[in-house]
Amino acid sequence: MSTAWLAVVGGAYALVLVAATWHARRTTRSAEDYMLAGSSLGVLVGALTFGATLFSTFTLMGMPDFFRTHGVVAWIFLGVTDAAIAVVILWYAVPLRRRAARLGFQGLAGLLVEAYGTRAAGRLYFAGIFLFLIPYVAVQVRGIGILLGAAYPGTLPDWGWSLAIVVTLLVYSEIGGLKAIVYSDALQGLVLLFATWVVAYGCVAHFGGVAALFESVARTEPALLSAPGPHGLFTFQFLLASMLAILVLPITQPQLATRLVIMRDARSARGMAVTVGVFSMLVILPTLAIGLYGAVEHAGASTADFLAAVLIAEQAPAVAATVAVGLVAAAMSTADSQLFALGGELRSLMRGDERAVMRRTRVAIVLFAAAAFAFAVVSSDQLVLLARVSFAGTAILAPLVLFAVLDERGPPRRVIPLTALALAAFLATLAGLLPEVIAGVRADLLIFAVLALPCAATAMTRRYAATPAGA
Amino acid sequence: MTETETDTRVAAATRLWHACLAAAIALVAVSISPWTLAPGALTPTLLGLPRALWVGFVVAGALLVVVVLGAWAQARRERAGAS
Repeated sequence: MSTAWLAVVGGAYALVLVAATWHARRTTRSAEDYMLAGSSLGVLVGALTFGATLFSTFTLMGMPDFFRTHGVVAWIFLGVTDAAIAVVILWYAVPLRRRAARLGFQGLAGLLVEAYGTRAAGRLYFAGIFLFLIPYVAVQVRGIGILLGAAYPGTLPDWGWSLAIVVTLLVYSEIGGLKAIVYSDALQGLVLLFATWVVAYGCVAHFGGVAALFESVARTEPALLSAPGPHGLFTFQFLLASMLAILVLPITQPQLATRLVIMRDARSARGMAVTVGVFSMLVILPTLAIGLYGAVEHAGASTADFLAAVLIAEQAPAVAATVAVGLVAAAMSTADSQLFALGGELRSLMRGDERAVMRRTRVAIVLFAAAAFAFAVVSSDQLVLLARVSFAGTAILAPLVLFAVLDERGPPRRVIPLTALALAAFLATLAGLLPEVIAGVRADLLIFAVLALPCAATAMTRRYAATPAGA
Repeated sequence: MTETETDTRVAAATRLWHACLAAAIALVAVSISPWTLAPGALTPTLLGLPRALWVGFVVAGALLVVVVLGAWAQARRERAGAS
């Protein structure tokens, strides 16, 4: 595979990235500017940064392989769920922004401390996101490293690609702050969109049209066209648990919640919700075509071989280079936001001299990146399923966050130990100390239910108690 | 605009917003209903697409319509002065 085109496209991309970082640094005047991008995002930039943060290599690499392996019901797993996320954004942005304006906002952890009146809430939240975001950053960095290592042999080893990505995103994040990340996200979102559609068009054209593509899939493996898929993955329980975990991402994951807070005004936030919904469909739809193409043409191939072939080797050199840059962009746009958000959350828990806090925050971001890189060296290649574990883990934090945002009279502190217990149970499941299925119900679904029931009962009781007699 | 007219507009926008939320929940429920997820069921097809896929497309498209309507309802509530 030609590295000349990679140098050209990658060089052009790097130039734009440098310009965006320079512009961000020039217009950043305070610590608030640095951490919260001036809190004035418009609709398009807001939607692109939210979309690019939401969609990672998990989308461009994971989803085609998911469609190839498990079939078309993967559309419900992600396409329907991401359309529904737009509704969640619309519902959640108003109370979150109102609460942030009232309590002040440096990060969700800090907001939880203010709302619950105890640092335990913020610390528990931070521990939860640290546990589940670092591995998610790591699998993306590793995935890209493996793919680029296979596609461009003799350039850099797998870990070298991973290290280059981590160093690059650290440089522009540390120099330009959240504004640089937002600008680069917008650029990365557009590259991601372009790359997926170019590859998908080639995949459909290969068969002569959409109908012919589906006929070929039906001949090759008809089980791909219905539930539960060839491997029986898409059961009602799997889809329900996945939807719950993914739908609460804007609530639980700090890099997404922060983007709702830093929109210019409520109108921009609404426009962002609509645009994110459309962007989601535009990004996921082409991965369906790429995956079904792979189901026919690369049925027996390993994940890495399939992706290296369909995304790089079978493309014209210029397209292959654009896709490679798109993959790097996808990985960086999510990883930078997550690492920076972890830094922001830590900052929101710190007190003292602002300059000392910022210095510690910047050092912490580098340490988080180092932890993610170290984890990347030992993590698995199952991008989608590992991402899903990350989503499920952070989803357990949803009641803790929702009470803090929605219950303006002061949320009940008993939610904190309940959440800690649920997190411990989920970790025990991952470690194999608890079974994955209990009495016929998936353990993650059961943990959500066991956590949600007392929380819902508490919310209803408090609402009832707050209602005036006779109302 | 009188206070009564404002209240009426806020109430109508609030009803539409709640209807949007209910519709979103119903649509998601349809997408994971036993009919959509019936094992091995390919028919009825729509434009050559198998059942689970076209239902998923229709639900996703309808959710986008719900988002647009919901955003409009929220804007009306805001303009009418609802908190």
